[in-house]
Amino acid sequence: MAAETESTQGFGRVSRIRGVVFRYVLLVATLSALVSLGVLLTNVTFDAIRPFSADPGWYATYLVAFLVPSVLAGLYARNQDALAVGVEGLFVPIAGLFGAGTLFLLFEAIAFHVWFAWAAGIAVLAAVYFGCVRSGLNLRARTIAVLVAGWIALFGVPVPGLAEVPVVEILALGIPEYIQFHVTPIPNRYLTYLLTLALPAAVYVGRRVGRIEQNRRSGVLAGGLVVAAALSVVFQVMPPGTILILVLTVAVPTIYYVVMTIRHRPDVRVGLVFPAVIVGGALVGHQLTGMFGVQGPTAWLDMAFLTSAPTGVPETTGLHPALVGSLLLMVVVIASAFPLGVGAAVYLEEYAPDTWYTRFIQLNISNLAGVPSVVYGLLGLGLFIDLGGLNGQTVTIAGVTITLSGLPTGSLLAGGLAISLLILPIVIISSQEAIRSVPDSLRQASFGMGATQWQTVRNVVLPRAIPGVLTGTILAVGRAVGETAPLIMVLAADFKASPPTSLFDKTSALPLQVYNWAFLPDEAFRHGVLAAGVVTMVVVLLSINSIAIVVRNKYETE
Amino acid sequence: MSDETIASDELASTESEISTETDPDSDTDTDTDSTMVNHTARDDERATATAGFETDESTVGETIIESREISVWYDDNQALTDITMQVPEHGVTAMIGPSGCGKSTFLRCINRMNDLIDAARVEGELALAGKNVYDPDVDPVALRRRVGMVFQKPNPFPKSIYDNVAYGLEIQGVDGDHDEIVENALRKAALWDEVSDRLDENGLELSGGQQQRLCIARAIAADPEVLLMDEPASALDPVATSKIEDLIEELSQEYTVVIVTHNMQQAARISDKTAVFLTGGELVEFDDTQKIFENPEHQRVEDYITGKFG
Amino acid sequence: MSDELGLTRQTDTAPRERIARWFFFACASASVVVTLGIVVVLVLGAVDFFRATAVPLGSAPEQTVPFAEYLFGSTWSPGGEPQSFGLLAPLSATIMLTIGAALIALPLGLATAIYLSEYASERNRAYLKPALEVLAGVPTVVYGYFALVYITPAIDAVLPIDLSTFNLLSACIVVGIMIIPMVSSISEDAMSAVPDSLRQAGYGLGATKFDVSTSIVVPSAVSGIASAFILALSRAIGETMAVAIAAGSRSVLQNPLDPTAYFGPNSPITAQMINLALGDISARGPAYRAMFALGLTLFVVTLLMNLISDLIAQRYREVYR
Repeated sequence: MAAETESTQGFGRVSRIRGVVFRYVLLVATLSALVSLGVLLTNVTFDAIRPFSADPGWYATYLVAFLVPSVLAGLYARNQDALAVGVEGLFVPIAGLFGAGTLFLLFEAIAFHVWFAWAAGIAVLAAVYFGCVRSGLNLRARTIAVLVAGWIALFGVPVPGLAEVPVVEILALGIPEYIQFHVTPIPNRYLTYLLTLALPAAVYVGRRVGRIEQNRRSGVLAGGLVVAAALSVVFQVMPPGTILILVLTVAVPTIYYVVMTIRHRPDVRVGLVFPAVIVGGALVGHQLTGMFGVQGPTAWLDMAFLTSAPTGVPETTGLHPALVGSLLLMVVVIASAFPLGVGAAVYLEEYAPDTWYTRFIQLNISNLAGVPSVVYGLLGLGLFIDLGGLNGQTVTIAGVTITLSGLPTGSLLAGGLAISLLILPIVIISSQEAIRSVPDSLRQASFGMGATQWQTVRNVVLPRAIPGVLTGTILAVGRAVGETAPLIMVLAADFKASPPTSLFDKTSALPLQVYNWAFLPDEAFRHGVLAAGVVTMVVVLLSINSIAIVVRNKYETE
Repeated sequence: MSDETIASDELASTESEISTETDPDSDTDTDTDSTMVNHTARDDERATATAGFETDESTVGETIIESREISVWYDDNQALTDITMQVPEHGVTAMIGPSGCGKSTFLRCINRMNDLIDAARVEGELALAGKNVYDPDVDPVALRRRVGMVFQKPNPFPKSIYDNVAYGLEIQGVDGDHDEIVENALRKAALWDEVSDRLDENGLELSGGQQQRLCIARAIAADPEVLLMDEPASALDPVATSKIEDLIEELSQEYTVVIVTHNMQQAARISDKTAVFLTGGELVEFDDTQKIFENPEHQRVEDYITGKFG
Repeated sequence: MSDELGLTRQTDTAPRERIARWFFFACASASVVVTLGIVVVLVLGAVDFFRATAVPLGSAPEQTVPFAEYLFGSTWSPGGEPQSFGLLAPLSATIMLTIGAALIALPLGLATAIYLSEYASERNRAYLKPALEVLAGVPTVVYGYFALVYITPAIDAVLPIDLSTFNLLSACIVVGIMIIPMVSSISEDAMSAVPDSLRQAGYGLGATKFDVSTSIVVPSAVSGIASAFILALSRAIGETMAVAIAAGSRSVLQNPLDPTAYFGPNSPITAQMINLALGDISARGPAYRAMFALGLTLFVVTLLMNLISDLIAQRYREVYR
């Protein structure tokens, strides 16, 4: 029998006050950390850029020339539903600029003639490989041929006496070394980039345009335009090599994007007005402020900061070597962690039997992911540099005495490997997730057709899992950029005046430079230089994360 | 339909859009007599709904739930069409019909569980003990404390048996010693003998049939007016099923039980009145169980009962 | 018997298949090699550090430290005269950092998880989750910088306490903020794994959303939440750079429960390792080897915590089978 305390009017009310209060408490808690971070980032940016040091006239000029037209253009594009295209169109040249910056840094570390020599060697190797494939040799013969030819092409065979004979000495030295030291003249910087960058780019653009337009002539035309653009830069004021890179990374993609959008997406091409106005407005504003003579903000973070070496003086110091160092470190990290990590993930997901060893590996990986970064630094120090205490010891094998020597302290390779091991578990785990998300029905279909396991992995699983794998790796690289402790433990440089010139050269890095600046007592350092360094790091990190998000979104919509 | 996600915040009791056919303000007046008019002419046994709640008559008689032209849409699909029926107090009222005919949807209208589904829209009126539950001034949470619900798949909380049964008492802030209420509920659910010595054990350790009886005990512990059961035995084996059926018959002496079932024989066995829902979310016939199964008025019902379709 | 269809041809053992399989196996085993490497390096270095000797400290070039003195010593001054390597000093700082960071991260992280899992609309989640990922992605040196340059002066200005430039309080705050995303994302996964039928049962009994969230969902997800907490604490223990910048380079034995102890500098185990690395390295003295002893301690502690967290997570994965 139910109770009769209810009035017949209804069923009563239950107080919701607790729930409402709870909900708002939760929201505040969630936002608190985000808001704090936002406040901190704003403070840093203001310290680095010092917007209040600019003339009011500077702001007024840009307001009229840049801000107002851009907002209007944005609203216009928004009404036409073309804003997304507009924003995309803006990101293409910005990404191009970042790409150009990265290439500049890279080519600082790698002298252009070295680059040319190695490019030539690799081109020969590629020719050998394709020749072997065409010739129809079986796998074993092919592998041997490629390995032998490749070794000779790249490194040469040190047969005594052969090095004196002209021409044939190529075989003794290998192509890169031969070109670097025995061939004169070699192409200058501009020609090098023309041959090694512009021509492949022209070929790529030409083929892509030809495919999209379904018209071979258009493809040839597009490729020809790229070459023409590349050649025309000779007549410019700036060093042609520099301009060539800018043209290839900024102008070509932007023009390609604009042309393709106008031709193929007529309903949204109106959106291109938005980036056009932004870029135009910025340029106009720049001209006008120059004409009016109004001062922009005297920021700590400017081009000089990014291109100078560190000095002891706040006004002249910069973090250029640290930038280059970080970039090269990432190259080492990606080169070692990516293949190793993806390979391990493939094994664990596709090949591994359900034994104790497999479970042990899996447990091991998840534990390694939680090991503090200093310990990885110690590993780098103790293993790569000290060789577990064996550094400097001599060992005699079969009558040959070798002196064991570890990597040099603070070297690019030592630091890079230490960081690479640090992010290896992350790469493995995220790659595993990406591979796991490939539906099993695809594998079943492949096996059902009689494909072997490797064939299935290579043709079905990996292509499908690549976007997720890439996203995970890029995010791991973002984490790696910010890692300092391993570098300190392998004794990387605190104040290095120049970027590293080889894998065994001492290196600096962005976070390391920031760390070192943090302890200088000078106020200008703390609130100026340091802020600029921090903002640089945050920008680098956000760019890397954005790349990962773009990759993720692009493949999700496909 | 069984995979509904709860998306809306039930903080506002006015979230469900109600478009009553009568003046929207009529039910918010402070009238003690809700004037429900009989609409279906077929059923001559139906008594007029009265205000107030009749006590101590443990015979199947007075109407306790009355729906009037209830229609439900999930986005643009209509799941129920103008359901009008009166459920009498006590006894077992069964709702049968093929899958997807809206039986569970109607059940969930009674305690406004459909409010938790964003895509669901309800029109019409449904009175429980004389009060339209879709009135703007009705608090769905308070409503659900007067109505108990047992689901198709047993879903005990991962807490002890005692805590499971006492949960309703906890959230309603019932004072005093819960031990007695818990014991009573477990006895009524025919579970006490099996678990009295292990009330601290986790509810998930019980067998399927025991878990369902635990859920029934949980539902009746807070002393509801009505017990709604959505195919309570369909996930259980035959032995457990027959225990549940016996239990339902016992419970119907004290509570009003409304049960949705796929199993016609089950409905024939245990229910006093049966409602037949057929395709289109239509209530085709509602009558004494015996009449429905032996001599239904509609050909469609007869076809369904004899297995010609559905 | 002739095999016309070629059914007996072995494809699994074709050279290409075998090469592929061995290559991937080698990659996977590399991770084991890494662990072995870590263990070997740390143990060798630590053993070097501990080799008991009758030679008292400070009197011979090859100095070693007795294990007991390391473990129970309360002074840590590797650069001082006489040198001492008592673990308790940096250990107390580690404990203090962990407590402070936990006080911030655990409640806020759990609240965030409950909000995202039970209350937030799809649109809000789409904004908040990436934003929290950014929180986790900021480099730790940047957090250390924030603590040193902005948070310490701000606290100093607002609260009537005497805060030194390098102090543990700011370090605790930034480390806490840093690990909030970890707590929230793992806890949220655990809460999302709670089957919806339980929430339905709760609503059916007339529970409000508050009741369902606090008395059904959170208790049902408690193993996952506990695992999240432990992982986050392990991360706090291993955090290096933020606290190296914010909390100075001195280690003193302090009472972790004394609030005023947080106002001054105190360097935990991780930051001490950095300190040693920046100091007396080439001498290969006990300071150098002390790094390995500290590293081994750290490795063992974080390993244990990760194992415990794994075990707890395993348990909750079984409850809903």
